[in-house]
Amino acid sequence: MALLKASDLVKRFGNANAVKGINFHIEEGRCVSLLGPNGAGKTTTLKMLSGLLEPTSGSIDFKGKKAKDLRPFIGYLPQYPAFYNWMSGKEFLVFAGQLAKLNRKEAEKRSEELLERVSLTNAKKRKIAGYSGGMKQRLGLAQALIHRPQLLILDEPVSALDPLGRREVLDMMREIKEETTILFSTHVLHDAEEISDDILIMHAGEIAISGSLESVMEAYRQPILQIEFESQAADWLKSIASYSFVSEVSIQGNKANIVLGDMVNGKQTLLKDIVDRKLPVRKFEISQTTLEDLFMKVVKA
Amino acid sequence: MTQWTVLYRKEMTEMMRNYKMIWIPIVFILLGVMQPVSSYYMPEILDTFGGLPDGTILEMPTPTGTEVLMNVLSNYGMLGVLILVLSAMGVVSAERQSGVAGMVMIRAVPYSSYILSKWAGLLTITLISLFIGYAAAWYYTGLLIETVAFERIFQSVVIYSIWLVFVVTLTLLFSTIMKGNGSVAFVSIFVVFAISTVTSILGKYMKWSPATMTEHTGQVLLSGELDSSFLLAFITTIAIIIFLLILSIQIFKHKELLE
Amino acid sequence: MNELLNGIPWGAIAPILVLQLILMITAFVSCIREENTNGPKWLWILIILIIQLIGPVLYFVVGRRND
Repeated sequence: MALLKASDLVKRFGNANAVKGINFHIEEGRCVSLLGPNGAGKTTTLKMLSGLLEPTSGSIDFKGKKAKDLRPFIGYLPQYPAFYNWMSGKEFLVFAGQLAKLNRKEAEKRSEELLERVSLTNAKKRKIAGYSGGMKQRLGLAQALIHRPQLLILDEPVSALDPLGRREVLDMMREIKEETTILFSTHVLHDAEEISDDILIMHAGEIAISGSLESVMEAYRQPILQIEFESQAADWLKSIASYSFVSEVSIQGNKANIVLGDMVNGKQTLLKDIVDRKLPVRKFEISQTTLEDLFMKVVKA
Repeated sequence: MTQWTVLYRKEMTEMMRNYKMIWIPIVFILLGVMQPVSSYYMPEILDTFGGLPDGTILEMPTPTGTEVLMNVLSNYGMLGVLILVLSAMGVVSAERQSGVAGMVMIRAVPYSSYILSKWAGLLTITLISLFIGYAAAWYYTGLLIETVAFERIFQSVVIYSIWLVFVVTLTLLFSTIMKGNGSVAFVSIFVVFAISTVTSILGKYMKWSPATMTEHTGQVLLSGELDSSFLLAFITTIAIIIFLLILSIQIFKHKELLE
Repeated sequence: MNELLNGIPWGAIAPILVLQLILMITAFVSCIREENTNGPKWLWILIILIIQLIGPVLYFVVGRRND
């Protein structure tokens, strides 16, 4: 059964529709990534799910029931988490726990557990004002988990972090996903490929593609030819577009990605061409389209 | 523990940590105490430092105790209001600006609990400062000038506190509406000043105005009796305070948090 | 001058001086512990120590960052 189901969700700001009637569902126990370029409506969607923003129309079902206020079931980490900087890390977690209706004892106990888990135990008594960006992000993760939510929503959890902080947070997410359903947004495709089970690709307020990572990759996978030259070979690359088996050519400097309809026939013809024309080739490789290629295709369409 | 209590305790802890709980009452005490002290020593000060020619006989009637206390309240009306507004201006706006208000509201906290905990925090600091400061002023007046009946002191401070509660409630509203701390303070002080001025110019038509609380305070201090129009002013002031609170909650509900 | 000093009722004045001192110390401690003040910290310390009453109040209202 779906943990959460969104039906015809619309959010209008003034005259502009930020989210244009989207439908999707999240299965229990999955880690779902919400992909899309900036301005696609990802944050707006997440805010509507977490109850911070009221949808203009549409409905959200939680465990098959219409839910008015999902906040007790959801842990939310905003894109830019903010804290009371005069509190210590532990004080903030206890405060958040009590607001989530844990009693003082439970809140203390749970805070200690989570501080351990996000490796902030050593810094728990320090003022948050002195925390680094990565530490704040981890504290943000801990406050989202304080009331053992059934769904954890993370808005761009690693975008603002340096490579080290990013690694830490991703590793934590991998652990958390064993216990809790996760929905997180990102514009970094590599992160999505790394830890998610399902993906939703949003573009201009609509969901363009959704499904499990494998099935989406399977369905949209295309063989692709990657050629790298020692010098520019733009003339030739432009000319090959006229072959019937070439469906798309994209050129980046000395490299070219060529999507082929017929791989067997195509690669031989092209290879022969290169030899005949004595083009200075450095690399000639057959591979598959990646999530990034798919993403670019959706966004540019 | 209810969410309101958690939020209210957070307000109190915050006011302890940023020293508001210490400095605002101290300033109110000093403002209150300096009035009787300077009234008492004014003739001597003038005598010593005034450089008056010998033989000048100073005819400076020492003010009565009630006059001194009325001056104390008028100091509170100017400097006290200024300090309260400036210290309350960021109560909601700063938390909205930093985004931490959103971090609170992602828990299932009713909007009313958030605003009312803020309000209760403001009331606590305002009333503590006013009561302690005024009590100190009363003590010094008794010591240096003359004793004023406790009854009058008590009645006057209770009536005066309604005016200050109105002022901080107004500040809370503007802090919910606007984001810049400076503009919150400016607009709040401007509106308080405007209400006071209009009330004193159009006194006849403004008997219901919250600003008349300051006049009723003086009346009680001087005569020990309440003017007949007090009840009307009291009821409308309480009604306006409740209305301002409801308005703040509604506005807060429709503000986008976590931008 | 001595006469004037003797004439001062210290019982009444002393509490005022003590309170002013507490106010000054509180502002001073707060300023020292604050990581960022609005404007240079050394200036605020001077203002707090030199200007009685108004200095600490100004610091608390304007000099401290609210967060």
